[in-house]
Amino acid sequence: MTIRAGRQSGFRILLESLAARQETPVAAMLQLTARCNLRCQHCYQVERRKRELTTAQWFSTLDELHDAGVLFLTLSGGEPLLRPDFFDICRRARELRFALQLKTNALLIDRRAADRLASLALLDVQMSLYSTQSKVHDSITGLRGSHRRLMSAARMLVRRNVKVSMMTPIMVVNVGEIDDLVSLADREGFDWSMDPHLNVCEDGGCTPLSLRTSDEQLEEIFSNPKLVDARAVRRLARERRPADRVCNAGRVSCCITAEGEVMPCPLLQVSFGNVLNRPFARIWTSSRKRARIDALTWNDLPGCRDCNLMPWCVRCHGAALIEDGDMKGPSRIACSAAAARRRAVTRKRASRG
Amino acid sequence: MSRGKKKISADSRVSQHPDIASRTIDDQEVVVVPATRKLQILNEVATRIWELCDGRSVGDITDAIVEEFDVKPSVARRDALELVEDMHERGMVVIE
Ligand code: SF4
Repeated sequence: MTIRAGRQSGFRILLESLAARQETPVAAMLQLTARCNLRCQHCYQVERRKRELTTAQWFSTLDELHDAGVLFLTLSGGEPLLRPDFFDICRRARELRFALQLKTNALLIDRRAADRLASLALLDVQMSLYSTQSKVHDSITGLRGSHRRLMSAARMLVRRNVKVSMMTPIMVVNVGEIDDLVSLADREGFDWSMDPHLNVCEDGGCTPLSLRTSDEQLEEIFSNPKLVDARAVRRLARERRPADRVCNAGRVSCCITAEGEVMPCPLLQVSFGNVLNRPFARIWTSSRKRARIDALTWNDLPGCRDCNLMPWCVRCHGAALIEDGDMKGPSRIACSAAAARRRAVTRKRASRG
Repeated sequence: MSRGKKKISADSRVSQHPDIASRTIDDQEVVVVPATRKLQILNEVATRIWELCDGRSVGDITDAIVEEFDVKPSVARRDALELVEDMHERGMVVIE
């Protein structure tokens, strides 16, 4: 998630209206595998050893998503390129005219893979860049040389006119190099965004909370005009109403896990059903859990509806559930971010006199 | 990414660009051009013209539109040509 509030809002509203018209999502993230060849310190995913969908099962899932009107697919993992049938799945998705995005750690992208990716007309290839310094980046991924390999793959793709979108989760180890990361992305021709909220692990147990930025650092981030459009943040805060839905999970987009579970998003660990048991469209339209999550407004969140930080809050049901045990309760990580966001914007106004 | 103006006539053959992504949502065609990352939502007539971009000529597309919609041939010819030119500039179609 980028915190450049307001930049994407026109596009988001368009997608919301499309999803409302067909009553099924327009975007889906497919976690093609839960396996990964990196062990990033901060990763929220737990490597599962359950049976993954086969090629044929992914093909029929793609057919069902196509028939349900899904247009945008993000192919993700784990590391999706670990699947030997990765390019078969991509080709099938392109035959069905999906708009494709790929999330990868780039370790398996050599020249040949770059050529094949370039032939898929991807919207972009998304990678995580933890630092401009290889030592810092490699210490996060746990693999020496991962920074060099990431940069080399990204450059190969840029040379083949593939859009590369770098995302940096902001942590204590890289909070001081935001300007350097922005310059590097500019120089190399990458898109760049950041996420100031380091998420907890899916099982709630393994997040290195020590990597999370402090409240003061968060405030610095939200005060940086290169990163945050303060005017847009203020406008969104003014427009926020208690009757607004909290997020798009379960409406505009969804996530399908490597085992076929249909979930609202990768973080919110609630399954609406499995594509191996029922067709996707039936799962979507008949799941009561989905309808309840879709309908959630700020008014339905007991600890949040009267909170004076609510207009500044970017709250995630998934993070609230994993970290604080209640999907509808306050989320500590969102609370600190909302307070920092409000302080940053208030400070800006005060300093302008 | 604009393809620039290309001389298009009634004999030009038009096909949907192989790179595009698209879906029919609520009877309207939603088209994404990956090169520009732009999304277009086509109205009813544009959706029909888009469907007809299967390698046939602009003239044949115009004939089909006149047949299916209550529109004068001269108006259909002008509108179809303009629309195909516009789709070409947006990277949605290829012209032979
Ligand atoms: S998550 Fe925290 S900051 Fe956000 S509305 Fe709830 S209590 Fe307030």
